[in-house]
Amino acid sequence: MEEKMEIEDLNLWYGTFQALKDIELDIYENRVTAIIGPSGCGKSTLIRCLNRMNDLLDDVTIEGEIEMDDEDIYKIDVVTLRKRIGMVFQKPNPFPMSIFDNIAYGPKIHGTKDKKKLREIVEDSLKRAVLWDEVKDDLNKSALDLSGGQQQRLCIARTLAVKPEVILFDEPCSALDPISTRKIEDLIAKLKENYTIVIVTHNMQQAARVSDFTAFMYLGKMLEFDTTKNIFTNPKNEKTESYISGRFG
Amino acid sequence: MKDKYVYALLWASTIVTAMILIFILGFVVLKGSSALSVEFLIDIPRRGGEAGGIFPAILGTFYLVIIALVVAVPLGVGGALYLVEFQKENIITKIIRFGADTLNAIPSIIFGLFGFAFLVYYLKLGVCILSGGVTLAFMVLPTILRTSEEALRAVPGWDKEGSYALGATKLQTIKNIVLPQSLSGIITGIVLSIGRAAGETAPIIFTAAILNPVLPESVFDPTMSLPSHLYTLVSESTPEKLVNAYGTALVLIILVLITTYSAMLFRKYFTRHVRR
Amino acid sequence: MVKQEKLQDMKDGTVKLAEMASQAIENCIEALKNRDFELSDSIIRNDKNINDLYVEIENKCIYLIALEQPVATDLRLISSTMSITNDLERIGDYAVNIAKINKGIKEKELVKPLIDLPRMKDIVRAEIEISMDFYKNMTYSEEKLKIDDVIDDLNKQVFNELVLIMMGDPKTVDQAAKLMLVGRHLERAGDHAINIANRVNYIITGDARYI
Repeated sequence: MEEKMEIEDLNLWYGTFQALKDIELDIYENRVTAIIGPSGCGKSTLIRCLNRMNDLLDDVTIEGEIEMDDEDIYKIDVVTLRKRIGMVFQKPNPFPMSIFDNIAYGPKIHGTKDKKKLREIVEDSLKRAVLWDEVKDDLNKSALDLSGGQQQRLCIARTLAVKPEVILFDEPCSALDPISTRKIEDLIAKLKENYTIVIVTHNMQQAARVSDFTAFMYLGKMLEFDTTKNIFTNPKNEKTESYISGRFG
Repeated sequence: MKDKYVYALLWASTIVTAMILIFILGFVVLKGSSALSVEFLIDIPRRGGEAGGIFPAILGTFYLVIIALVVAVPLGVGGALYLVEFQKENIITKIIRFGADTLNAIPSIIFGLFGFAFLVYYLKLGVCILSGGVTLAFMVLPTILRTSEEALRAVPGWDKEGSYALGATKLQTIKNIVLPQSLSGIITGIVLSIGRAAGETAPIIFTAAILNPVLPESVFDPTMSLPSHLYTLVSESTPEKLVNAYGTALVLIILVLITTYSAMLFRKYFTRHVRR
Repeated sequence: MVKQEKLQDMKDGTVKLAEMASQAIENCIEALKNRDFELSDSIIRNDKNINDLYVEIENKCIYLIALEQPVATDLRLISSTMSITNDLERIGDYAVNIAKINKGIKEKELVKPLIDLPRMKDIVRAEIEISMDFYKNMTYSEEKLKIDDVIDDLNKQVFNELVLIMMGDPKTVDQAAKLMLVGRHLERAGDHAINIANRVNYIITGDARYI
């Protein structure tokens, strides 16, 4: 089992407020790593460091090292980095375009112009995201007409279209009903065969169901990291135990 | 109980507003429709505007608005884009915004005076379409800047995030996400400006307008325009001229309506996918 | 679906555990009948495998509960499986006890030929098979469990016969007492097998009275 990404001594400040403190984390290839913790613990902040989305914000200071395949992500061109590391957000955010154009957006941005190739990519991505059968009859329909669960799978397909190596999920099911949530969890379990997955969730049961490794964060620090089996049957840190037992947060 | 009085008041003010609008339009239509004819539209004015048509004025207004837009739209939209996408929110952006809002409030005659002093006299451009158009551009620039800025800011952050997360650059995101989604608001701003640019007399009266029914051959020539022609006819006030004045007013209103409506259709087509 | 595979895996393990326990019961009586000490030794050694499998299945159940949040029938199935595997492990322990008794009887000849004890053993094995059949197919039938009454009768018969033998010859007391224990162990093994069947009824109906 290889490490796909490694985080070492990561510290982050929003202005003067320190949101991440001395974070160490290994993300293993072709596994699902979940990050859990109470609101405000920094888990979303942490995941956004991985694809440098925090660069888009003003007044953010970052110290420490983040590597992918042993390469410093700040030395890789950010456009290439974000192609290799995709992100699915909490609120499904399909572009106000047709389903086809949504998925083709990424490849077009990166230079694919051939129409036949684009059609292939769109079909392949929709199949991988288990959405093809539901939309194949009308790819020109506006993406905004899809249901919430479908929109989120569309966003996943859109991310898959640029052929990433790592996919980051930031509370992907928060805005969805239980059936859609289950579909997406099943999808994530399937995706890990070909991709490395990191998921932030405030739903502990989801983390238990879906992930291989779990990291527990509290007030900007990573208090425990272990296999999901161990975290949920025998955690070592008492705060971890309190949190997953529902005693706070 | 109080609610009823408020409703009545609101209802009444709506009726009064509508009636004023209908009254003005009705008045112009009534008095001016007799002047309308194909001739009126394609002939040049004769006998000082008593007879003939208003074609040079129509053409002139058209040229002036074009020049105004050519100057104001890139500056306004570009400036707004810079403010929203490339500049952190700070004291400078607040100053620019304040300046634009102030400019909006300045009476158009002052623009006319400025245009005259700077363009006509200092830059020695003389009284011509270019001077008039640029003056009009200064006048509508704040409107275009502010409405474009509002439209650009209204583009939801999560669409931009989605674009960046796929590996798009800032320029690609602006081109593919920000501009298409803000087009509706930007066009609205431009449409408002067209109406103003076409109809204001004061900015062009010193900078572009002449009384001779001569068709301009280049931007360096002066020209007639609908509002200035209207002004002239009314100030010389013979019965025939008055009728033609109403006719001119009617033509002006109709032209602005056509332009506005076309812009709405244009906007509807381009924003068919956008969330409501 | 991932979950179904895991449940099936758990059930398969339980079925295997039942086979091992049943085989141990068979062997321990055979070893007693044939005075086969080596067979008894192998039963005692093999008990480790039974215990290991029991622990493995229990862990699987714990992980399923912690990681998959089962509810309703799934939850009853998993919690009952933990109970059932415990019953099977106890049955294995009784086989070990009988094997140890066999080794403890020094005489070559038994004080009486074994007739009823093997019959009891066969019924115990039948009860295990019926219960596991219920478990595999999620069915239940009270009728089929009536054979448990026969074990009680047979055990009483064994007891009475052995008492008579003991009264006849004091030298037989040691062995006869041990044989009585064998009967008791088999009877207890049968009880555990019946527990398994009742557990399955609980899984099906959800009614805790049946536990």
